[in-house]
Amino acid sequence: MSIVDRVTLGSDDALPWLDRLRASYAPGAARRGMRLAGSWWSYVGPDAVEVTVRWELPDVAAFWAMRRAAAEDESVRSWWAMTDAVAITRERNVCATA
Amino acid sequence: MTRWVAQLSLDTGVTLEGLPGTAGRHLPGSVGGGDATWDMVGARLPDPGVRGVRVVDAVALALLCSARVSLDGARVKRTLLLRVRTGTPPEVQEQFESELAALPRHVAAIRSWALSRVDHSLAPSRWTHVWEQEYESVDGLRGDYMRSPYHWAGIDRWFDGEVPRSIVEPEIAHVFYTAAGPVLS
Repeated sequence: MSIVDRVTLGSDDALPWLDRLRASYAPGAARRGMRLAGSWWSYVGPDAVEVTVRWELPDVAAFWAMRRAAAEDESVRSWWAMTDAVAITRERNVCATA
Repeated sequence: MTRWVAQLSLDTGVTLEGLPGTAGRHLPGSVGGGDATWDMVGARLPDPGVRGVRVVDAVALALLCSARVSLDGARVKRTLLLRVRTGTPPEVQEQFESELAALPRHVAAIRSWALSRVDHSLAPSRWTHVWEQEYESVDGLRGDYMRSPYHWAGIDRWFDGEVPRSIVEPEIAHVFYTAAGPVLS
């Protein structure tokens, strides 16, 4: 299965945020079983960039294990609080493989 | 009459046979509750009256919706106690309730079920909602229920703190026990 994060940020904030995601969030996500499968960015306005990040998990059991681990990890809450302080919009979708 | 769900603390070796209603020790995998769940109907929740059995948490239920499905013999009764975040707009909470109540359409292993709000006028509680189901066996809960894409891709977004529109506080009680007969039906 995949988890897709879409975060819209000011154009000056987008790529620094993506760098911080790779450095700060991704290592913990990997320990929770999430593999960073890819990331993309695109202008969605004159001064706004949407960053899309796709994570992969091997199966449903891994998903629930990840959920339990994330719920107990204060650094996860801190990461998204920091993100929400700079993001214009944000969404996360959990998707089955078609 | 009001339906009550109580969490019990049990001393070692006590039995629950003397309790009115239905009660059972929690099966492995239960988290966030007491040692056992006690389901009963009455104007109020009585003292258990059994030595070594104490009520540690009790909720009075105000039923929102339910379904009764015929099932003979023993079954697994599961209770999820949850708290919707204070300040959640009513229309958002109602959408959550509507989507949660649709779960049995996607998980055939769910037999009888009930979704209730907690009636705080009868008993103060930290919980806001109670989501109950019966299953023929624990495999229905651990397997079908947990593996349903509607559960992990749809309903869980209301619970997942990493999803920006989640509304359920992380603390929950997910408890289940074997009941000899119907609890919700």
